[in-house]
Amino acid sequence: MKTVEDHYKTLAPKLTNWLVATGSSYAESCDIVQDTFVKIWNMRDSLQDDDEAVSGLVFTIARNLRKNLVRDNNRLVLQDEIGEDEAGATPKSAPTTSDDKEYLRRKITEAFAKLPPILREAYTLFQIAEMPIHQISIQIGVSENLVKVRIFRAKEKLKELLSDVRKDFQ
Amino acid sequence: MDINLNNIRTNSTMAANTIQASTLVDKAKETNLASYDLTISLTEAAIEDIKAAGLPEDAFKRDDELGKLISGAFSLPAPPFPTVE
Repeated sequence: MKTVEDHYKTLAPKLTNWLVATGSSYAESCDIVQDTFVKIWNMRDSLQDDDEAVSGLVFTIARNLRKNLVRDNNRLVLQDEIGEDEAGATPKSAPTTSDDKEYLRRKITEAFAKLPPILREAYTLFQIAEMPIHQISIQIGVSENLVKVRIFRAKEKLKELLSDVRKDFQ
Repeated sequence: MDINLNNIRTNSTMAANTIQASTLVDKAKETNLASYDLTISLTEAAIEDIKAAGLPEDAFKRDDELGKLISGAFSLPAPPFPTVE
């Protein structure tokens, strides 16, 4: 059976990047990831020996922690309601390997913000959190086919929204 | 033209392979169903089944051009494992 640390190594990078991609700052994302795994640690004796179940639990806890954080900070930005002005904000203190990467991340986050929330949720869980489609289906409570349709639509829309950026980075 | 919901639902893959069903559903949704003389009552789930089955197989690759661009941009490191007692 995997330890909590094993799960952390696999899931923490995905969760951190998913949180940043869906509107949180890097610093905030790191806090949420750590708080999530403190909770997972406290539940370690009752964790199922099932990677997908643990992954689903981790993302659910993280989403709830973020909702609480947003509510406590009296902020208007929720994961499903990223304001366009907020979406372009560069995550504060995020380590970057280059200005290009930071620019690219900002452009992609702006594009995500322009997607309908249901498309953004399905696509970011698929591409950034690297969840299998059936797991996304469970996570967001819709059929696998509906998840597929949402991912497909999100990709088509993102191709349009990022057409200039895609040329620059080819 | 009559379309049986159960047939579409159970044969969604076959129907979608022809693409015609999906197109028909789109048309019916865009316009007034009655004007097409369609006696259909497709649920949203049935429509999505048809569309999903008709999607290209490579639509769900994470390593296509767009996927690589996005994954490359979001490769921030995770924080260290929290200190727990």
